[in-house]
Amino acid sequence: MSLVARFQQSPETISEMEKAALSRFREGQFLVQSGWYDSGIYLLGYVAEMLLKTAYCRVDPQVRRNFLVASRLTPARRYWRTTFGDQPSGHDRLFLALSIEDDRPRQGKTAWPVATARLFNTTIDRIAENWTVEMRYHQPKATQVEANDMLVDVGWLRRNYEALWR
Amino acid sequence: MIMSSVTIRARNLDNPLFGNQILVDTLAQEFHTPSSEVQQPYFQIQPQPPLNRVHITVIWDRWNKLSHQERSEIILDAYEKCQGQGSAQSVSVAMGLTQQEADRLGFILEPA
Repeated sequence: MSLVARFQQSPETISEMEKAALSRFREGQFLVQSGWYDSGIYLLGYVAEMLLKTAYCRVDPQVRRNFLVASRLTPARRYWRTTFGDQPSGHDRLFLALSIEDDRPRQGKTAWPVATARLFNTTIDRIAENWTVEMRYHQPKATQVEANDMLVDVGWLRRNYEALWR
Repeated sequence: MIMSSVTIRARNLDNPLFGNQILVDTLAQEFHTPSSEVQQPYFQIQPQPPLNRVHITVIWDRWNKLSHQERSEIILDAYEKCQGQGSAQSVSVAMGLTQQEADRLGFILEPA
């Protein structure tokens, strides 16, 4: 069976994406530490996206890890479009971050402590400054500082993952 | 009106031509007037008390050629068509699975 066929056999569940995020984080960390800054940043950007997507999914306390990620994100995009009038892209980390914060009270959860909220927003802002999907078609431009910042920021999301949705 | 938690085995759909709007119309009709026949689509609408949110799961082999996002969009459109404009804002989960996917992921919709 081809690789593509094997991927198609495993739907994008929350469990699948959480495991992918952990695996890709380690690979991104290796790339950055080996001097492959652009590749590392590019991969770590997807780790951030996966962590935010699955965290949003798990804000709903009745959602289990075998649920499809799209089954939570599509209603979120509809809500966003209806409420704010624009259509978020699939890679929009700001949409994902705001959706987590917006959905917590709607799911009966308390707001984060002020310090956590501030760190979360700072982290998301800096990730947005260091990552764009267009990176894939460009020659390397990233510096070691930018790569290390990305590693720190995505590492923060990973360490605080449970706090994002609990 | 928010439906109570129900599981319905809906009527068979013989028409091989299913554009997304046809799927929306068909599913909305099933949401509104559930059939008791033992054919797909099977669906479950679960309110999530005490919150005003619902989870909708639809098992239907007609999903086969559609992405998971497209399936969710169709479910949301059908729910709005059945329950009224704006009702999709209360949907927290809109999940469309084929029977094979449902079996693999462990989703079993029991009769109410």
